Amino acid sequence: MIDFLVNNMISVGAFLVVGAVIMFLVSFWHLNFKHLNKTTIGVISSAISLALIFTYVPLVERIIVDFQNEIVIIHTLLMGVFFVLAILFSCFVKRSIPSVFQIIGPVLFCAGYFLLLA
Amino acid sequence: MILSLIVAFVLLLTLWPYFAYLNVIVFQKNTSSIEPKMKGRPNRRTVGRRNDDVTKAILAIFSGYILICIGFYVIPDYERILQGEMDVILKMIAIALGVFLISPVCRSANAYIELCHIAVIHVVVSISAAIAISGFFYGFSISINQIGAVGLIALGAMLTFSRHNDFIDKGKAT
Repeated sequence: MIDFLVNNMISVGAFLVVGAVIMFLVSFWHLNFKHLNKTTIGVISSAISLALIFTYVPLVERIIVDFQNEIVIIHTLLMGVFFVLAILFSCFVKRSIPSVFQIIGPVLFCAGYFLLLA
Repeated sequence: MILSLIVAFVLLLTLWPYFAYLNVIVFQKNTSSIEPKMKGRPNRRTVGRRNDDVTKAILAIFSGYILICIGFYVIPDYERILQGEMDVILKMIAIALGVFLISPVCRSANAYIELCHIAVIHVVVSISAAIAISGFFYGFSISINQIGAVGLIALGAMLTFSRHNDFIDKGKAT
């Protein structure tokens, strides 16, 4: 799996990052737009999310063909990039000093990914 | 397959202790307290309704991710997109419905929790949904190493945003 990711770093990375950015936008962009009602938000987010099909699904196709039934790994990779975006955004907004547990958290997070991909 | 479904279920359940630790979900109901700005009115919103709203948000996000995972993985034939086959339309409908379910509840949950906590819900719930869908449709049996890895990822995500939510403690008295 790691060999596959390294050999296809540009294409896989591009698909993952674009997919995660779209996921991030449709999940969080509306939280500060209180003037829109919930139905409008749902409709707009759904429309934006359709772009996910054209970015993320080709990657899924390739992974499923090469690594049968390992969709958990590739989906977890997508959500990992999504979560890193949330961490960066949160750090940018809050600008607070992290506690010890908040430093241990990302270490465990990365260790989990290493074990999953190894 | 059974093990995958059990792991997915247990992974989903870990969110309740996490939010109980953050004082978002309070199992001890104290209906005798009064709303600070509305004298005489019982403090239902900050005790009872908060639990319900957050629980509803978690379950709705889980349902949405089930639909998204079905769209992503159960109808996987990208080659037909250019040919306009039906599976693409089904895929689009499943993903659009899933996001339509997720987006409003994220904003509802944002009344009690912050963006980073919603991100933790997304990560844990989506991995749980992917494991469940993978096990249910493909008969995927998760290995012990993968259980440990997924557990570490979920624990790491929770620890990263484990600080108590000041907004709730200050703004909405219990």
